[in-house]
Amino acid sequence: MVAKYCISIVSFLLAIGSFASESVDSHSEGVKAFKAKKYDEAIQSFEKDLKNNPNNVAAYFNLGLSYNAQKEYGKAIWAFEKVLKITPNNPEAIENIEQNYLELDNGQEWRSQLSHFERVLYGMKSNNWAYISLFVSFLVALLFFFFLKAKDLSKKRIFLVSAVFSLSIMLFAIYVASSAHDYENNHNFALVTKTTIPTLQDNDAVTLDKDQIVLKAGTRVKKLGNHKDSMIKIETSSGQTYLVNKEDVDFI
Amino acid sequence: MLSRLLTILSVLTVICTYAQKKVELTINPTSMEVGETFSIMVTSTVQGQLDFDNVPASFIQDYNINQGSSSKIDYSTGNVEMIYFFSFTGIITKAGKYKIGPAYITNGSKSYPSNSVTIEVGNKVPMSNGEVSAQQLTDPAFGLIQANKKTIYEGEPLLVTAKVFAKYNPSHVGTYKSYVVPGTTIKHPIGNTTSFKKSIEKYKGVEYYSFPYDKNVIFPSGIGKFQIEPFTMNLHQGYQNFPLISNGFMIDILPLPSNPPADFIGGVGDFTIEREIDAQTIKQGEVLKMTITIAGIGNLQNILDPSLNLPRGFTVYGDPVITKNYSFGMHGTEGEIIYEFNIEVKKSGNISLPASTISFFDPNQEKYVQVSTDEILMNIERDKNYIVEDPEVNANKDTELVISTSKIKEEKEIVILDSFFGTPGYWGGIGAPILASFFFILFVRRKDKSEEKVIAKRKKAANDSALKERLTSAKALIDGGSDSDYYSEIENALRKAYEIEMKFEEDRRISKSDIIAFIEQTGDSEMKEKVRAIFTNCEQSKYGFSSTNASRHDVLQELKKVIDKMKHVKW
Repeated sequence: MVAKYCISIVSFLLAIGSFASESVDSHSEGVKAFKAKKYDEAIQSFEKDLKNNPNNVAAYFNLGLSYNAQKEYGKAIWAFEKVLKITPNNPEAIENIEQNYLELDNGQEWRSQLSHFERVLYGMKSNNWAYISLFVSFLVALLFFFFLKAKDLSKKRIFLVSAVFSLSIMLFAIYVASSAHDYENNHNFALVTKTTIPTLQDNDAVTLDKDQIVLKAGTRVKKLGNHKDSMIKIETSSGQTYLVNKEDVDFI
Repeated sequence: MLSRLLTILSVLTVICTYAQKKVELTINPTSMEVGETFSIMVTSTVQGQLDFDNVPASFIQDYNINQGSSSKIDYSTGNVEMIYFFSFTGIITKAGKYKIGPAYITNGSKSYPSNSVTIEVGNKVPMSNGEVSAQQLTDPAFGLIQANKKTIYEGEPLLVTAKVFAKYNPSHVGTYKSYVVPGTTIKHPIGNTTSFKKSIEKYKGVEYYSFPYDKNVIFPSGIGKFQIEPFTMNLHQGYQNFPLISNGFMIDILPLPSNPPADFIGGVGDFTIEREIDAQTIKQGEVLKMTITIAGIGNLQNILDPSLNLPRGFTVYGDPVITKNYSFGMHGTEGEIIYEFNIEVKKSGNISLPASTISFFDPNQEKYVQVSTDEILMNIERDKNYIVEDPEVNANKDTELVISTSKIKEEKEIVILDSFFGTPGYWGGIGAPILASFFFILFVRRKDKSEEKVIAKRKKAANDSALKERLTSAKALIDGGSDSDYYSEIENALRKAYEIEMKFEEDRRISKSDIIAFIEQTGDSEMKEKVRAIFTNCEQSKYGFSSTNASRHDVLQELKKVIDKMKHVKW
């Protein structure tokens, strides 16, 4: 019985070990391939690494560089957008996105989803804001307690002002934590990474849009909902809605 | 005031002009071969003795030095300037590169230096002779055309000279008609083409006076076999002369190999390229100055502008400023051409400027050769206010260089995205202290209220007890007490009752007028009369006639009625 348990534990540990070493290798293999200018290999390695570590921001960044080197600018923009999704206040990613839009040169340009201020706030992650708000809520309670206990009027006033100030900070922190949390968990935005994609018509048979409208690489779209089959309804930044194939866009 | 200033400025200008003592050294040509005569001239605005620094040991000066002066009028100022000059000729007997000068003009104790000049002396270029007929050999003098090559490539320089052989010692040349190279109108003279330096030379076993004449470098155009047409001259010995006609000279001009590289600039010879930019770190939207220098020897004067091979986002403004620093020597055009381009940078980031390349045809190697500069890494700082308007919309992207903007990240950066926000634990954590503080406030307030109630209750009980005590005391005094004591107690009981009713807390005794005023506020006139009557009765009984027991009872009853009518006073 004990031997069985031991074997199970050892097998489990080995499985974890092999999993960990594989992911380490994928990243470093990707770096090695990139340095050797084998960009195809580098892309494969970074994608493999991201399957195991979906939050490895360095892998997304390197993937962006690899796509850029392959002149797949749409894909590169997507990869750098993923970097921004994880670390919103990443100036290098912004710079690369702008650079790749310039390379695309198809009339599309990058419009930031967030303001600079939001970028800085969301850069601290909703988790940190949650802990800040938690800490401040304790502070608020403590200051109210001191306010009620204080006999001296001037002390009472100080505690009251501090408590109100802390309360406003706490509310702000909760608001930012909530907005950042929404941003982190909103996966409705997507990017056209192919040179052009067709828009479709809502018929029984999926056909091209009658006006033959195509969306160019780098177009940022918002998913409004699923349609039948593999079609999704999207909205462009100019407010126009279309039906496109789900496989034609990459979600951020 | 203005005229004074102008006068001072004029005087200063004149002083400065005269103060500048200019000494200039010129050497012609600066590129020559061993034994070739060249001239050295020193011009100066000051008269004095000539002295030289850095004269090569292999330099042999000709016999005499010409010197003199001339005047020069500056038409802008109207000043007349005297120019003094010294000139002499000489040869250098050893090949090499020499720096000659500076020359000094010494006037009294002052010495004025000139510039220095670098000359390049090459070994004698082996020349091919043209044909000479048997008849010519019997003549007193004959001429032949010499060239450094019989076969050249299209665009390659050709050194041509007229060579004269004479059986007599010639004194000078008269009525000279130069040789003609088909398709070529411009000749570039090498050295002094009109003077000649004789030497004794053997030709086919016979000694002659010989001298080269009219040496030129030419750049023939066209391809195929051509003949250089003969030169003619009258070769004098004093007053006597002999008219001679040289033979022609056949040259074969080969075409350049087909399919030249895309960056071929039309150069035939040997060239190098250098590139510089004025700043490696600039702001987006700023203009960068790029200098490309093409140097070498060959047909440098005929090359095309180099292509810049710039990445997109780099826009050249206007035509380049071209500075030509070259001279014609025995091997062609030697020197450099400098191109200055103004380039607006529209991109931001770390951008690698690709190498600029040129290709030329090397006739020695008989193939196209490519030379290139190094890549330059630029840091272009982003300007958020700069609006990118890329005019190169239709640029061919395949020819562009991949621009790496960032370095690869070698280490993993795993960001934890699981958020504590929104979980029950979070809201519990936020809510607990806030609720606790809320409940604490409620608790404290409730506690305070109950304490107040107790105090009020106690106070009321004390007041009621005090009132009861007064009434009991008054009752006890009905039968045995004096009028003063009895009615004082009645008054005190009434005052006490109104102290309770009015919640009178001042540090003085409540007065009759306070009570009356209070009752007036309530608007109860009946009560007012009753209270006034009790007070009047008490005052009359205390200070007037003695009262009966019955009247004492009546007053007490009246007092009880008044107190009963009060809601808050219990007794």
